[in-house]
Amino acid sequence: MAAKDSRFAGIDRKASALAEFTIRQYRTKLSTWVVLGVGLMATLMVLLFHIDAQTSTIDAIDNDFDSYDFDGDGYPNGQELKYQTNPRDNLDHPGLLPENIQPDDPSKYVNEDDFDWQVDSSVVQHVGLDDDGDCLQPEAGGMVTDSQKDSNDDGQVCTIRLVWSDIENRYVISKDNGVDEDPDENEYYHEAIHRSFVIGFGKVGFVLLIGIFLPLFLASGLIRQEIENDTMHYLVGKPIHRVEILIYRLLGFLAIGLPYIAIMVLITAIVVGLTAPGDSFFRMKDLGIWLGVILAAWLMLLVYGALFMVFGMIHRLGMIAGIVLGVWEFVIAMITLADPSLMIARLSVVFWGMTIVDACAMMVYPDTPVLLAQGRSMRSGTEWSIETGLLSTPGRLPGTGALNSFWNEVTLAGLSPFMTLILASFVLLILAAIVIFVGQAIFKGKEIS
Amino acid sequence: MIPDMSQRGGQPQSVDTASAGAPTILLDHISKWYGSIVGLNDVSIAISGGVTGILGMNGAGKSTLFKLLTGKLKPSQGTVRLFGIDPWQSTSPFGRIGYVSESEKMYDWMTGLEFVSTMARLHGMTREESVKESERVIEFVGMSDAMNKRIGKYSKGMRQRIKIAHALVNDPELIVLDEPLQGCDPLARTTIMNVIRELGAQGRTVLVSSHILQEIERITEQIVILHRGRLLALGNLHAIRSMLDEHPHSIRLTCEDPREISSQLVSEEQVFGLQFEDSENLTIKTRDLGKMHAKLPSLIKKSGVRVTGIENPDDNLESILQYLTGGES
Repeated sequence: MAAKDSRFAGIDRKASALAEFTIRQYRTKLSTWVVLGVGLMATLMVLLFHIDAQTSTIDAIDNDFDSYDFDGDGYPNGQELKYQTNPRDNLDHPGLLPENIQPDDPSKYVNEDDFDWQVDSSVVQHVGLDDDGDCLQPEAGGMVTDSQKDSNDDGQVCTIRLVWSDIENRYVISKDNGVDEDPDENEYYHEAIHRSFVIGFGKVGFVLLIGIFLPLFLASGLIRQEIENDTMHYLVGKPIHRVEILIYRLLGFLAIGLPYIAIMVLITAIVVGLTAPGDSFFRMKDLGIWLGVILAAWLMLLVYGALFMVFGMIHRLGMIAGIVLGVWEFVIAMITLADPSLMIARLSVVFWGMTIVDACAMMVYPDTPVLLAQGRSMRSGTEWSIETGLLSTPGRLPGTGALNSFWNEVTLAGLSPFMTLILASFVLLILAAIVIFVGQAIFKGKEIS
Repeated sequence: MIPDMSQRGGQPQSVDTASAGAPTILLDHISKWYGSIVGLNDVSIAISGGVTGILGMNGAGKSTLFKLLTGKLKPSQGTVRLFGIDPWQSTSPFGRIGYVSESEKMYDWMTGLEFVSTMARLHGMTREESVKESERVIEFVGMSDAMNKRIGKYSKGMRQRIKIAHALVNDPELIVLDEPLQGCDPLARTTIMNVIRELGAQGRTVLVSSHILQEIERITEQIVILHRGRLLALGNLHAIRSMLDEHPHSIRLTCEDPREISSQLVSEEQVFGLQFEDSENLTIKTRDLGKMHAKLPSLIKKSGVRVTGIENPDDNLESILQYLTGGES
């Protein structure tokens, strides 16, 4: 048979033999199990914190004081506004109206004007719906004319105007008073926390931490330990090119690392999907991001596996060089989280991995900028504010900070998220190829004494 | 149809063309320095076929020589050729050689069979072939009974034999054994010596290093002596020995009455000195070791003294080296 004896068949046999050997060697080492076990424990612990956050309830805040009873007549402000009586006059309330209305439970007037934003891709849009009528029917509040109801002067009564700013990479918002001013903090918080966790744990947990530590501990010794243990001559004494030894050893590492990443991400995806807010039992949408996380973490293992393997081979102190590189990557990762547009970030490996996750997140949750814009709404003066004379208001909705930290809209060279994903993956593959090429050149000149 | 890659033009199998007529091993003015330390100094050897013993003290350059041959080290000067190919540049000769390192380190977590068959697969064998071939070579070194035990539990002799089996699994034309007898018990020693002789008889080229003359003597007559990185002698061990025999030698007798026996010896022309070490030992100085050994039994018989031991205290590598270097070592 031609195929059986072709040189490709021989290469294939050697590759499987050396990769299989490497896997079995990992299995016999305690350090392998410790590293994998610690990764699992850490992941499970973070998941516990996430479950705790998702099952907790954020106290509802009455952002517009509608549930209060300023004049003490027993009728909450919201109810008085609805019946156009004066909330600040205890002799004027709905009970005095001919219908003889009984006071409502004040909790009816908490979170009663949630966000109603239907956003599309146009630059200027008008969104929002005044659920509680304090803009549309504000006679008692004093806003009678259309111009009073259009306090932002955009020609639309009782709406919020969103203008997308490419420079600031966010919506610039101006609103009419009394529109969407009392959102549901709890609902917002859980949605924001959910998205932050998927994106943040994907980027920091899997791409950065596991993506660097797994290769640091497991791939550094692929060549070095063989040389130190005086067993390298068994491998280099065979009719195998040294570049093949590097690649097949790395394959053995990947055969452990890739399924490990996939299983860990799968566990996380299941837990996070089940605890996701919303009516559905499981949030399928996230899987798009999780697949991106798997891809990014796999590519990180490839690049870092090759890097640390070569570092370990060059010198006994390769581990130290690896740690220095790890610190650099960590700093870059933090910079990337803060501002991914900085060019220096591109001089790292982790930037490209994180970009893959960001690109997937942009494809799965394209409405996140809107969510962020809503979350920032409570900051008076700086961005936009909708509160109606609150004494103290939180700077922004709970969960906004987390989402703001982990959500990054980075598109490389103005490409679409999908093309960004392809480009970043390609860059990582090229990096791995360069590392292996340089590594084999060094390995070829190395004497095995 | 799948193209047969071995038939493609432009890149002939270098193994076949380059090796035609080339000696199995060719070292041409090889020197190897480790920093300022000399490992090998201007050594030239060509060997094809048969068993060759590489003799030398520790640090004489035996392992350096083997590592240069097997492409582990790069020569500082000179050229190394295996089957006409430079082993530092190309891995193609490695399919035709088997190398047993002096290092005792192995993969202790594997069984003997797993180890040998994994190494066989690195030669490009399929899983089935590798097991079949491994069982064959393990049988050859007499390790079939223990092949499914972990290497970590092997004795030194068993480890050496599995190492030899791993070097034989690709049916090599050249086998390089670095101190294969070191640390072995007598039984393993005998087995390994038989294996080496058998390999030589099969027409393979075998290189065996040792620092013990008697070990090499039991395996082969063809020797190379290295000393302090230099090639000191190359050729037949007996020829070297007979040169040696013409020079002062000692024989130590352990007997009941050394003085009684010395009266018989003192008149022999080969004897030029007698030395009484203590009440039981007598050292005879002679210039012709062969003749002296031939005469000794009848002389002892004539004296009627009971002799319990005859030894050649300087019949070892040191004395050969001393002779060859003119006593400077």
